[in-house]
Parts: sequence; C-alpha cells; structure tokens
Amino acid sequence: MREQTGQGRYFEDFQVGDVYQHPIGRTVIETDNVWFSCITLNCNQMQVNHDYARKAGYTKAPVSDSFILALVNGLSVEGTSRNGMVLEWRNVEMPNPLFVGETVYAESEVTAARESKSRPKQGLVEIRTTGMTETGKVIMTFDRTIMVWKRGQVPVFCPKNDIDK
Amino acid sequence: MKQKTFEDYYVGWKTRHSLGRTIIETDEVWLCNLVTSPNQLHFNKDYASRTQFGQSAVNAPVTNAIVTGLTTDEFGQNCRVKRWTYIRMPKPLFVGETVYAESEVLKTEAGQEQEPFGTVTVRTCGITENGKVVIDMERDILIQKKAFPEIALYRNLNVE
Repeated sequence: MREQTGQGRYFEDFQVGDVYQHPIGRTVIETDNVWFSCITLNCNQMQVNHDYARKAGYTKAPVSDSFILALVNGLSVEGTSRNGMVLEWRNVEMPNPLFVGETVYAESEVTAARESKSRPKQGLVEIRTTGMTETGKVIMTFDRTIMVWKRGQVPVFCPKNDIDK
Repeated sequence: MKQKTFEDYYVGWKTRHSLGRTIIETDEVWLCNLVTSPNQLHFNKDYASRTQFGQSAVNAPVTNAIVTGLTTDEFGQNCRVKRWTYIRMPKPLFVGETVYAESEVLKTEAGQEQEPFGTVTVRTCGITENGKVVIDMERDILIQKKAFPEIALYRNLNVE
C-alpha cells in the first residue's frame, strides 16, 4: 500500500464547536528564550537577565512574550492552519508568565467557519487557542483567523517517485 | 540610552524606530522550525512555489517578533506588553527584504496614582524598504512612571 500521510485538516473538516488538543508539547530550554530574544533584537533584559529578574521578585527571567506567541501558534498549526495561513490574531492575552523548563501544550476551539469571497479555493476559519503548561497553567490565549485550502485544492507537493515510472 | 517614562508619551506621538532588519533564509527556516510550526509555506520552497505567493514566506509570529524587537529602542527596558489587541498580516514578508518599524500612540491611561505604571496603547506597523506593510498591530504596553523605580513595573505581575 502506498499512501500520503499527515495531510492535515481542510476547510470542510472544521465544525464550529470542535475542540482540538494539539498533539505536540514543547519543553522550553534556555537557548530558546535567549537566542529568540537576541535574534529578534528584543533587548528587554527582563527576558534574558536573571539577576535583573530576581531584583523584580522572580526566581529567574520569564520567557519572552513574542516567543510564547510564536510557540503556541506553532503548536496549534497541526490540526488547524497546516493547509493554510494566518490572517489575523485578536485579543492576545498573557495571564501568567512562562519559565524555562516548563512544557507548553495548546488546545484550539473552532468559533466560526465561512467561505472566502475573494478566494473560492479557500475558506476562513476562526479559532480560539489556549496555550498551557503541563500543570495546566494558562500562559496565553488568542483568537485567530486563518485561511484554509479546501479538499483537493492544496498545491500538490509530493513529488512522484522514480519507482512509479 | 535614556529610557522614556509613561509621562513622556502622548496621543499622536509617532516615531520611525531606529533599526532595520534584513531577513535572511535562516530567520525564515530556523525560527519557524524552532517554534514547531509544520506549515511548509515557510520551509518548503517546492510547495511554496505553487501557492499564490510563488515563494516561501516568513512565519507570521516570527515577523511579529522581529518587528516587536525593532520597537524596543523605545518600548524596551522599562516596558511590558500587557496584551496585543490585534495583529494583522496584510502582506507576507520574504527573504531578502528589509523591515523597519513605525509606531504611533493611540491612547494613554495613567490608572491609579499608586500604580507604578501607566498603560499606553500603541499601533506599530512593520514596513519594508519598498513601503510594503507586512504587519499592523495594536498593543497595550505598561510603561513605568517617573516617580517609581524601574523594577517596580514588574512587581505587580502574577509571580510564582
């Protein structure tokens, strides 16, 4: 048997009210926080200077907000926007800080789905995503609008194998 | 570099942030993979060439992180982002383009007198050297008040 695996979800597969528990967790390491902050020129030392963070009352520097947004969004792509792209985030909230050594998971709920007026091969889906640690601490919530390809419309990406010829 | 305090900002204050950042291939691929995003629009050029963009594009939260970083010359050491009200991606950002940031203050809120920070609502756009707007975001930023020591800004967070 020969089949294509891991196709991801298409626009027709989204139902309002569905809740997806995204399959992957990611333990945040020191390098993630420091390198991501420095590479993006985010020089707020609250994120990378443990001495400074201790003076503010933390045990160590909390992880960069931009990294948390990118990570929670990345974890939620599997099952949502893998066959599409994000158009907008709204109401990005950070109720609790995240620290190095904690593991991040994500969960998403579909809040709306509608056809796209300008792109008939794609549809618009609205999702509410929650990022949380292994202890259930909520570190981020946001609403997201994504544009997803319909079944059969995704750009063909798997090359033919020479064996098939 | 002397950091501003809450009192230095007013509605209508605008700036073009001082740094630009040219996007390289490593930014696009490594930063997307680092945050475990499996959307191959960002790291599979074969797939990306068949999309409406015709080429691979930078991951949207990475664009957000880079543009947010460019704003830290103003909203840096004595500031903390409370929330993003919206983040919009009008056009994609591609490798080889250089992105700059421009910000405008929309609202200021001093809050209670004993609070060490005021809230400033800032709209920031990421714009390439050709004037293409790649990101448009509005944030509520907590900025330390002059009368309080810098560290006090963070003492009111949910600290473990």
